[in-house]
This record gives sequence, structure tokens and C-alpha cells, in this order.
Amino acid sequence: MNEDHVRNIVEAALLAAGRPLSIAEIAQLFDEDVRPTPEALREALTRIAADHETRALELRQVASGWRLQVRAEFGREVSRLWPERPQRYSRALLETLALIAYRQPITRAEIESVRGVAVNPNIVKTLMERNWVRVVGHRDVPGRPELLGTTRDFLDYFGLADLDDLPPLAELKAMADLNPQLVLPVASADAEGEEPLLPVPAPDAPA
Amino acid sequence: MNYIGMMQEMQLELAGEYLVMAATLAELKSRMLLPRSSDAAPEEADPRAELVRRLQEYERYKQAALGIDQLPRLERDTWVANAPSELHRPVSSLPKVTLQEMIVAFREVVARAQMFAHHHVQRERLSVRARMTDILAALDGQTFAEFNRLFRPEEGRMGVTVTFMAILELVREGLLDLVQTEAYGPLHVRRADRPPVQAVPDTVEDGTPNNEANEANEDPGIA
Repeated sequence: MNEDHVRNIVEAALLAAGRPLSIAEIAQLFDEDVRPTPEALREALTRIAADHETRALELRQVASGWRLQVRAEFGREVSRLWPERPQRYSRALLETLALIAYRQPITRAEIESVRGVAVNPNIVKTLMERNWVRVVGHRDVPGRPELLGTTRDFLDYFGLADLDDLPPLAELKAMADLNPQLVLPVASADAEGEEPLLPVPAPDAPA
Repeated sequence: MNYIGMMQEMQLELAGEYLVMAATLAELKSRMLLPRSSDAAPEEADPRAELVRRLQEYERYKQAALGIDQLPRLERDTWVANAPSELHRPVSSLPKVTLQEMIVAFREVVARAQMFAHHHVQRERLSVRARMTDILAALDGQTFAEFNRLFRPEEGRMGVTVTFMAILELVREGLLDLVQTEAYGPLHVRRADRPPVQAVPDTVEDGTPNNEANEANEDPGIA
């Protein structure tokens, strides 16, 4: 079985499946006596990716495997195929999701302590219904609170291969970098004290 | 005060949170404005540090949420390519159910349901005994008769049941032989070899139809 043939079978499978396929799944498609090695399949995938360089589709590796998907740059036009607008998620939902994604496993109390407000049960319910978030265990403290974590579906949905693909979290700045004025001698404090303390307006915090 | 009054009409809890925050900030501010003696005690923890840390922490995840929102997302920015092919469309793997199997299943259900049915015991209008005699008479002289032939569907369910019970009774009494040559093949009936001394013993004449009815109702499922 030559390389072109393997390449085409892989591409055909990806198109027909309409979902991510893992290397193992693709390998299973071939008869045993002509089954390509995982390396050969990876090679085929690399070629498929290269062939689509200038096309509307791109090959992307997500958590469950490889998939051919529409390039995001055409999303605006393509989305008009469907009359309904894609669902928008509230800031609260996205922040909750972000905390679960970056700090998993995490309890509701920990989410609350960062966001400053109680976790809306509907948000967690929505995240679970979308199968983005699941209970991964219980913290061994009184009350055994649920530990929340993200799912493979979450990674697939946002086009991520693993959690390391998440956009990097901003660095925490040291106090001194934030407001160098703090280290100035006390004598001059009367006038400069009018400067805003923080980059964030305070009323935002408990929102 | 007007402001607080207004807040009361709104969400008190929210107002409280804002007030706490405002008070904390005011406290920090006033501490800042007070001159500190230069021989201040060993560097005490900056009271603002904790607040700043928490605000920063929150800010990080606020940014992260925006970051996640901007990720190309299925159904909004991208779609998994799919070229459905009739070749690959799998034939539904659900087993096909034929009408016949359904009928068989239905009959089993009916048979089971009948076990729970109430049997209204009444004097039999068609005598099993009489039918037994009829059957023996019909078989007289013949070697084998087809089992099915003994039934007369035009008599309705009741008549068929009586015939069936009569046959069972005859078999039980050793007056009939029931033969099946092959599995699922037709049943054949013949008179038992030994000549019946008395086809219809009078003592059994007033037997209890109720018991027999129960047997008859259970047997079709097994037969």
C-alpha cells in the first residue's frame, strides 16, 4: 500500500467521520496485513495538513484525535448558514470555566474565593450539561466538596489538544512593580497618596 | 444617607458588599495618609498586599476567561468537516424484527397474561367427555391422524380449547399416542395400541373442569 493511498484513506476517514479520529482508530480501519504503523499514519497526517495549507480546511489535533475543520477565518461567513446565532456565554460562566480549566481540580468554594461571589448553580449545571465540566473527585475535608475538572469534550470544543494548549495565565505582578511609589519615604506621602492604588477599579471586584 | 436609602430598596446584600469594600479601601487610604514614624516597627505586612493579591488573582482569571472566549470554538468559529458518504453510512445495527417474531412474542405475552386472568368457573357447556368420545370415534380404524385436523376452528376458542383438553385427557389416560416425527413437524395422533376397555369411565364424568382449564391455559406456551 503506497503512501498516497494511505494518505487518501486517512483523509477520507476524517471527512466521513465528521469527528476527531485517533491514530489508533485510523489504524483499525486498515486490513491487518496492510496496516500502516503509527509513524506512517503520522506521516500521512502531516502530508494532509500540508496539502490543506492553502485550503478552506485545516487539520487540527484536539484531545480526542485529529480532525479536519473549517478554518476559523471563514467562520464569519460560514456561520450565516444557520439562522440562529451561536450561543454566547456570560462573563460569569466563562470566568467559572476559566477557573475550573486553569485550577482544576477545584471546589466551588475555591471558585467563590477568587471570584468573590457565590457560584451560580445554573452555571455549573450548564457546564456539566455541555459536558465540559465533570466532578472528578471529592476533596478530603469535612463535607467532602466536589472537585470539578474539565473534560475531553471541553478540549475538543475549544480546539485544544491538552490543557497546556490553554492561553497562558497572566503572571502575578509583585507589589513593587504595581506601585513603585510604595517604597518612597513616608514624608512625601501626603500629595502622592491621591494616586489610584490599583490598576483595577475597586467596584469591579465583587461583581 | 439618600444613597443608602436607595440601596435599601435595591439589593441589600449587594449594597453591604460594596460598603465593606468601600470601608476597607477607606481604611487603607487613611493609613496611607497618616505619617508613619520613621522608626516604625519592623516592616509589618502591607495591609494592601492581601487585597491586591486577591484582585490580581481575580484579574488573571478574568483575562483567562476572555482568552477562552476568544479560542476558535466549534459551532461558532469552526466546524468539523464532514463529507457524508452513502458507502460509509452504516446500516443501522439494530436487529430487524420480523412480523412473525412479533406475533410469536405477542402470543407469549398473551399466554403469560392469561395465567393471571381470572377463570370464571362455570358448568362446561361443551363436555370434554363427549369430545373425548368424538375424538376416539373419529380415530377409530385409522392409524394416524393429523393433530391439527382434530380441531374445528369454526367452533371458536371455546370449542378448540375443549378439543385440546380432550386430547390431553386422552393422552393422560393412555388412550392416545401423540407422535412428532421431526422437530417443529406436524403432530400426529393415533389410538393407543391396547384396545380401550372403557372409553369414558363414568367416575370421571364430574371431574373438576377448573383444574383442567388451568392446565390447558398453561400448555399452549409449552407445546
